[in-house]
Amino acid sequence: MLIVAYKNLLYDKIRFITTLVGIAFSVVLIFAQVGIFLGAMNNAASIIDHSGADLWVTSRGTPNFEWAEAIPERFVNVVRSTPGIERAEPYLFAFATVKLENGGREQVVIIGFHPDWGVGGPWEMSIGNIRDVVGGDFVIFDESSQKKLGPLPIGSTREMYGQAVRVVGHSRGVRSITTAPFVFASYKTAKKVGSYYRPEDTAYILATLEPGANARETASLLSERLPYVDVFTTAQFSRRTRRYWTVETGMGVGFALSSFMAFVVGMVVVSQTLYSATVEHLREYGTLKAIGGGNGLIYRIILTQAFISAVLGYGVGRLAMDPLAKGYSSTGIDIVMEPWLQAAVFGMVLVMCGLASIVSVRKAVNTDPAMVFKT
Amino acid sequence: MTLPEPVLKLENVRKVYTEERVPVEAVRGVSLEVRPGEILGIMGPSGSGKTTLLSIMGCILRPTSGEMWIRGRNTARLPERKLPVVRREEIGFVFQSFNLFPALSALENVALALRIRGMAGREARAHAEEALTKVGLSDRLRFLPKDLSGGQKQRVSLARAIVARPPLILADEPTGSLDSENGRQVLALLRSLARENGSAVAIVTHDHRVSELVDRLFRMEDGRLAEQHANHEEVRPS
Repeated sequence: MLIVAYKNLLYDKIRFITTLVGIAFSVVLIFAQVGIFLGAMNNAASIIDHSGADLWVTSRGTPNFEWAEAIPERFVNVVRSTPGIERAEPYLFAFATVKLENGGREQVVIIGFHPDWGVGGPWEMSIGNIRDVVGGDFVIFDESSQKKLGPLPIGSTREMYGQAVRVVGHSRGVRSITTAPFVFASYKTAKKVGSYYRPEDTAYILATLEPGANARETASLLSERLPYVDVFTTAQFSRRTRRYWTVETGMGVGFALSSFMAFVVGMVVVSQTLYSATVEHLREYGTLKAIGGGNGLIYRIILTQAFISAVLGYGVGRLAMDPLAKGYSSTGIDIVMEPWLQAAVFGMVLVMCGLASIVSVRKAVNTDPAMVFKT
Repeated sequence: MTLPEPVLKLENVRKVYTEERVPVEAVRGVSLEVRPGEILGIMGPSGSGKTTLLSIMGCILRPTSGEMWIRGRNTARLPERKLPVVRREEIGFVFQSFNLFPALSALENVALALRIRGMAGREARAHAEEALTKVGLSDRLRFLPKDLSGGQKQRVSLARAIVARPPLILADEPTGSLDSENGRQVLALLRSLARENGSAVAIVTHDHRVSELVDRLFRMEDGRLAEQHANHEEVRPS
């Protein structure tokens, strides 16, 4: 019986294509909205997630990674002396500016880490090694920053806050939610460049745990010993950062609303085209009922049409996302297209098309079969 | 010779509509029996209640009062949800406007009647091909309705009505959309196929040529049915 469903669907090709375009448009919008949001959230917490640290000591009430406030660097000794701590080091996060070749300036984020430890440093290098920052005012730029800052050849020199730094490597995949490029340097160099910190202050203290130590318990112990700061496990600080950007800024609501609108637009388009197709074929539904087809058969036909439209529309939309995601990526915005998201969007499209078919189903099952005797 | 049990039996069937709060009696106390292989013609002016009666016979409309049996089953008392089963199993329909599915080929249109009955696709197509061959369309199996003439479309409709060999065939103005030659051919075909299958046929029409082909001719006027002539000797029990 499915033959009636797909042949009716394909009979009016223009309408069918319109339906597919409507669904694909909706799929692209949902993917773009949710994918950009997730990409932004990944970027917001990428340094935390990839840091390799177990605990983060921050200033009291630090809402997210990029809003670091100064804390006394000497607290690192308290952290180091706490049972369960394997190693602890100060870690710098600071906004700085880089002088461009054309004379202008661009804001960047400088990260000061301990290259011999590696914690909090770049996790993937496209050129060079993280230890290359040792022994001078050397920096690693993320390769994506060349879009904003121009070519950054290895060995070239740039000026940051009046301080000359030499490019010694390129990291890969380190992006900020604010799109300000990341620059990695040794802690010492970063302190010189991120000059708004007092010499006795730092932004964070990162710590790793001894084998077998419990992160939450050690964080709790540290909080008791350092009552004027916050101590988070890496997972807690990552969640806190994501939550800030999602909830506090309204970004999550904005993206959710636009995704919902994409869902509604798709549903309206599918609903309209399915409904007009149903109305056009009402006589056939009447005939089906007259020759003995029950309402169940009509449900199956219309839902099959909705399902076919959903699968093909999703496929078109999903295919369209690949070049789009690539294009976005080249502008510094990542669109996350993880398998669970693809499955979720497919599920949403099925629900969307199913809901869209309700009006059509009602129209078709309420058709009076006696209409078949009218000319 | 004892007559076979009627395929269709109506007893004092009435149908009352309410139009703008005014009751309109479209069918007034019709009683009728149709036996296997018998061909019945019902003529009458527009608005006389012919199509309403045909709809009741086809279990599409329910009578307001009276009883109706199809092969001994009282369909007037069946719940609404059972009526599609009766239509599916007992009745073949031929419509004035053919009511073919424009997206389906002739073969698929005919096979649909069997697929609704639950027959597998391959078997349904084989039977459909056989039925279309009987109506002279073996060379038009894959044609869409838009590529067929009016006469050919009505033949497809005829094939769809007879393919499941239903005991009762109801035809609503089967020649209404055809020229006289095609109309004659379709009526002759309907008669011969019904005879072959032993199906009872009721034809509602304005076409006077029908009177030459039917076993019994009725005239309907103001909702009442009156027999005009009977020709029982032609009835061939199946």
